[in-house]
Amino acid sequence: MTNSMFEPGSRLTRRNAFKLTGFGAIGCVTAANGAGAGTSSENPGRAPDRAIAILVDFPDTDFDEVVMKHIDRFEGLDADLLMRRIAYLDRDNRIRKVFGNVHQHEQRAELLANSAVVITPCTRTVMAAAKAGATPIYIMHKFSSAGVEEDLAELDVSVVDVMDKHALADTLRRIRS
Amino acid sequence: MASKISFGNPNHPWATKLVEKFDFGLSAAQEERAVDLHKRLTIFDSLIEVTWYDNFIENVQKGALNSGATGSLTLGAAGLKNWRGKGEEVVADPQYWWKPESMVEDIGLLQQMEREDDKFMICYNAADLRKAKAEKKVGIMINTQNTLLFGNYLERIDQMYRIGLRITQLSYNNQNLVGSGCAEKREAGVSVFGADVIARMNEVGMLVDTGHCMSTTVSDAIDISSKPIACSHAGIRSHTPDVNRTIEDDVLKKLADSGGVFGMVGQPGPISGTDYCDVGQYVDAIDKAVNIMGVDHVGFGLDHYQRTSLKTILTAPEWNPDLAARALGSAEADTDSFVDPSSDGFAGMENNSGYLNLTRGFVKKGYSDEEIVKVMGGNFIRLIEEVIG
Repeated sequence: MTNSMFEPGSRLTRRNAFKLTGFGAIGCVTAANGAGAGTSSENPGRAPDRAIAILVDFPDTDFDEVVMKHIDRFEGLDADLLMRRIAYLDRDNRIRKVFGNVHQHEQRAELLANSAVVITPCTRTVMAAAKAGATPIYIMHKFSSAGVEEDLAELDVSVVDVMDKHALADTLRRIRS
Repeated sequence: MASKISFGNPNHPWATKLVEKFDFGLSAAQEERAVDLHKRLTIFDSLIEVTWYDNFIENVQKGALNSGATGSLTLGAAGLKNWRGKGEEVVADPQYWWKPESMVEDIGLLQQMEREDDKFMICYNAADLRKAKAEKKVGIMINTQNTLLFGNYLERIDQMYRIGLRITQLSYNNQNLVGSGCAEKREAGVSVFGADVIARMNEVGMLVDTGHCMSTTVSDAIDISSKPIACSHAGIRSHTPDVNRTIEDDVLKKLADSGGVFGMVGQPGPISGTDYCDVGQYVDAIDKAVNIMGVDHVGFGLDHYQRTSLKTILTAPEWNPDLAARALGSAEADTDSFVDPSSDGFAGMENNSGYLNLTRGFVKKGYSDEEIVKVMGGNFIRLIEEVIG
């Protein structure tokens, strides 16, 4: 499987990837604690012993900056932030109020493998997180590809709309229950 | 006055030459920091002229170390089709300047070029600019430099927005229906109709630009506009008092206080007051703007009109030889004189492949990473996000 298959916006890519044998067939990230096999749907909310309870991903592909625009949704979650690589305006003050730890992009693989829940607007991170044994939650945004919600629902991946201020809290509660 | 005008040096290597590193005397650690930061930040050049020569996109990419860059391209003036890929002097026709049909034709051609070339994309909002950077492309937002193409029809603002125009300069050098340009004799500022134009631009989400406007016009526009405005490519009056393409310090401060952003123009006249300058002087001039306005309100707009000549500029209805010479900071108004591209006298920024020299210059100045990100494009992108979306 080549990286080109994971180009953002490619529904065909996702479908081809999902048609394999679930997330376990996607060679993205190997979990550091050996709990990498299987899909999130097989064991939602597992790996509570991981060092990071919730990791919020702010990727370069979040062109609309949905994570920053709705940063208040992550308040009180005691979440860590995985910062994008491309440098934009500094948002230290806002970020520090919401996130306990901010991690650099270079640590991405290790962080996914050590997180229990990964919240992301990136479908590639959804797949990588699931492969790494985390439970991914996908954030819908205006650049989301048509049909992504249905595709992810087939895999029992939670999808939230950040415009709904209760959606994320409800989803986290459900995963943890 | 004689009318014979030549293209300067036809063998000038401005288009193909890779701009060399300017000697800022950086340490190895500083060089490394500059390169790493330059690849990660998003360049926004607030004025890219229509002179789309053969390897223009390649030069921009080289200037961004192949990590993607963004900027605002001027259309609706001399005709994109006249410039696209031309390797020889282009003589534009006066019929093209500031006409709605020119804008329609230019945008149509640009969209066709976009379909044929995956190295650049047209950007309609801030998210598109970020997308271009993330995908390592050249992101182009469309501007025009004169509200003349709206005529006296406010509806044309809506129409132009719908086809892709996002940034519009209120006036060029002279007086128009909206306001006074920098070369006018009387300071009329923004007209009553101009206030309506600004209100409509605010309403549709089009950024008000005042790059060529007189200080009075800039000041009026700040007062009238309900949203922050831009001055995309001008100089600082206190820095080069004899160049008319410059804005008074108190107006620059007012622009900053209102949330606007100023782009220091990249032409020798406003930078050094002469026909020649280097990128070190350009960084100094930008730094002077930062000292006046604060680091959150300054960017840069090169306005390199390469592959052109004074002869071509003079096809514009608002130019004449004396005005051109004064605007460019030249003491020579005789059209017999050779006229080189503006970047010909600009050491370290001969073309768009020289963007790295700006980041290196700011490192030398002692700017923090955050400050460099802002001045290299972050401030303009923030303004675009606020006004356009």
